[in-house]
Amino acid sequence: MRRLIFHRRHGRSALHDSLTIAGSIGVALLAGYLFLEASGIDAAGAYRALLVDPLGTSYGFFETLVKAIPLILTGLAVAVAFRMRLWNIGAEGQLYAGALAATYVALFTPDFGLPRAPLMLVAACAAGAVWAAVPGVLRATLGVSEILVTLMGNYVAILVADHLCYGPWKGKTTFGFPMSDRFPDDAALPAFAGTRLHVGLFVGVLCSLALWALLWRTKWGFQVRVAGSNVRAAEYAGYRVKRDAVVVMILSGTLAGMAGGVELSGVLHRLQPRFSPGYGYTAILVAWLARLHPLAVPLVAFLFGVLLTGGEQLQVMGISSSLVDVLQGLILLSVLAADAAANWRMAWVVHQGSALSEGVVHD
Amino acid sequence: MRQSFHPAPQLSREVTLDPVVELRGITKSFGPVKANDHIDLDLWPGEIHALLGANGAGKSTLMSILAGSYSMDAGTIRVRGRSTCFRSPADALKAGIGMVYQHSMLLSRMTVAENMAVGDRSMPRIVRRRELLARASAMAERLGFPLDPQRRVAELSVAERQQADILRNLAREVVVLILDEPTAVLTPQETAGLFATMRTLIRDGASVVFISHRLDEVLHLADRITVLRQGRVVHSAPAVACAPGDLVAHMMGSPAARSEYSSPAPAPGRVVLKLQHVQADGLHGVQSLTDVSLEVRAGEILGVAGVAGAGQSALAEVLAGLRAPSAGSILVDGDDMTGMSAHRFRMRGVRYVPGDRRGRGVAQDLSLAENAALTWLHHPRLGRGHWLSRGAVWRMGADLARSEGIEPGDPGRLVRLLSGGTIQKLIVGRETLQCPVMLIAEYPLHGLDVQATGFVEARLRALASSGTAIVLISEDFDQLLSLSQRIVVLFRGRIVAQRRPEATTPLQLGLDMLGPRSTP
Repeated sequence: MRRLIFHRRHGRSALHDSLTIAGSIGVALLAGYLFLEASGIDAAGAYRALLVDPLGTSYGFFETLVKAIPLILTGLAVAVAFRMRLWNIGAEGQLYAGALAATYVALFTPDFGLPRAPLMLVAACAAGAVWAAVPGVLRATLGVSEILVTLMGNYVAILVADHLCYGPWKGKTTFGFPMSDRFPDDAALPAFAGTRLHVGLFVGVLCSLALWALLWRTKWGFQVRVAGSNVRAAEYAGYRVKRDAVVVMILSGTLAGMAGGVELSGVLHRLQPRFSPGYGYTAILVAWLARLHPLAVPLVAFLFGVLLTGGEQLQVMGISSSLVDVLQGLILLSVLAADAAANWRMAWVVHQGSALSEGVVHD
Repeated sequence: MRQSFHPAPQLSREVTLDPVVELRGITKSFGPVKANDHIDLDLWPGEIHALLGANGAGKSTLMSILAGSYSMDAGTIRVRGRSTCFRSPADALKAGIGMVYQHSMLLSRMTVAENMAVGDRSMPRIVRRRELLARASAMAERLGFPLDPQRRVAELSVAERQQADILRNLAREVVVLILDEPTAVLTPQETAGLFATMRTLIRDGASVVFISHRLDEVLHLADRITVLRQGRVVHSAPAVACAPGDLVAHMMGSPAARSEYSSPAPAPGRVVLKLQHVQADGLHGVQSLTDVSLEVRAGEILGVAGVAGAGQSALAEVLAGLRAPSAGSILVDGDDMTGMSAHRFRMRGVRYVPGDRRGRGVAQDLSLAENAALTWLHHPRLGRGHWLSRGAVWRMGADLARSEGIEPGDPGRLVRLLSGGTIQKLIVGRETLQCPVMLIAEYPLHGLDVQATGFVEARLRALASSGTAIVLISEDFDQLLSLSQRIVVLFRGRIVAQRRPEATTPLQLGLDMLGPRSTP
């Protein structure tokens, strides 16, 4: 009799991890292909729109990078919090909080004689930090679940943005559409000639490098990583775990808030209700697939940027955007499944009839 | 040599001819440790059978096997003459064997009556609340429990939870009820109540297994006493035929002669640690330390003995600054450190080798080198200011691996992949990298092989001779007697005895540990 047994695998290399992820994305695309064919859609054409246009055309490529920018920043925000096992699922709300603060600076502050764009980013960071500090402090002092508070923070921030767009901040030059007026020119981040791509990309990549250095090259980052691995060991070593948790939440909120400021200042140039297609939620997937590693976040964010841009192309073709969601879901599921499976080594063992373990007596 | 004991029970009460449970050759290993080594044991109806033994003797393991929570490696279990094989506690319950664990297995958000119905397959699909309550009340009344079955378990005291747990087992009509150290958390009055319950149960023909450390209770209550040591049955006899001194001798093994322990001359060093009337709060309002005062001098090793849960971990945490005492004061080198953070204790030169190695002493997802640096972050060697030098961390790990003989000594290896003994070498080496002012060593030799044991012992002696004040918490008498200059015995959070190794015996220590009331 042959039987499949599983051994736990110890220690995984970066190569192994990369192959696992690449392989599982391949499997997901194959499954998606079959799914599209079964739905009566020209799968080859759809994949061309989904993958070739975002990567192979210059417009598509720049657009992919534009979409990747907020994902990089929110992905880093989630990654740093999750590193310390603080489940900040409120990057979306922190992003909106940042966007609101940036809008305020752009439209409602007097001219300081300084370019507004940097001030907007500072304000956005501060707003995101405050939005995340509240759940951080509640968690550290009263033990309130940060999951619930950050989640609720999302609804509050999004609805406040709605309210401002429909009400007090509704623009005078928007022909009645619920959105703010366009920001003055000095509120825009510099863009590359002829494209929508802006310097936010560098901001994102710099943040990724800085976060990596913070976590792996400073004593404070070391303490955060120890606390994320074993909080009792961190307490034993005399680290100030609760204070560090609040700081990590503030850092996380700063990054997510910056994403909101960068998106408005770099791309939209005005506040619109529901301007984010769920960047702060997708960020959870980005961070997880990047294994919470800051340097891997931009790469994974780029892949998600491809999917988002490709999704727009599909819609141009007349295919429902929900198919993109299906594909995203397929990719994520297969990566997570492959990730779990990679912890195990499979082997067939041949069982002899007499090999039942000794001493176990059956009735 | 393996012995087996199957004496007929000498009961004044009802005598049934066949044992209700026969265990034969029960063997169970955890890694290299044989927790149970060919254990034979019979349980007779209508008897209270006490299982005695030091920590790690295998009592709880054996009973967890009988109750279906652990699988055995070899052996047979016969219940009422039929061979059985339990795959789960549910199987054991079905066969009539129930266990009340030290930590309650009840669902705390449900009521007592509801808990009694959980997992009961004989319940009808639709359960009437009123019937549940009536049944629960009837059973509680029969046992004389003043327990309202409508109360949620979360609201119950420790003693009431225990009663609820007993009821839950009896609702399943168990014929064997195992109680794992049931008196450890009870007040004397509650203990008396529990004993009355146990007597009621055996009068109804059930048999009760009573796991305990407490000699006086066992002698007071049990019909038969079985002593385990290092996974084997070393003694089994009717309680009336047992003398306290013999039982302790069986628990401890052959008592070593007094002359074997000649501690080094007491060091005349300064007083490094001074505890004055320290109290620490524990769970459920039970104090984990009560009025503990002690002094440790430079170069002295103070042994702390006691059965598990006598307050050792609270003492270690208080000494390491991880838990602030609720009363009293701690002085280190004359400075009042009461209420200061663990970081301040460390900076003052207090180092701690925790008993829970994997759970507290290391971050398992980090590398050997990073764990070597865990408690030395403030050290300038690891990097200037706030920066951390990867190379310095790596070198620290490599140096530690070399000096402590850690194999394989790859500094990048994840600690998760290291054995328990290797982790202990890492922790001991890390905490003694520089000669500390004071070292708290909590079960530092537990589970180590001979070579590692010798290594750690030599390290403790070397530290003491270079002036470190050491608090050695251990359950091993030989280690305590051979390493320490003085031994204090903790019992329920109090220091109940102070001994000098040259003037005491393992037997005496064993009796001290079992509480002030038990004297041979």
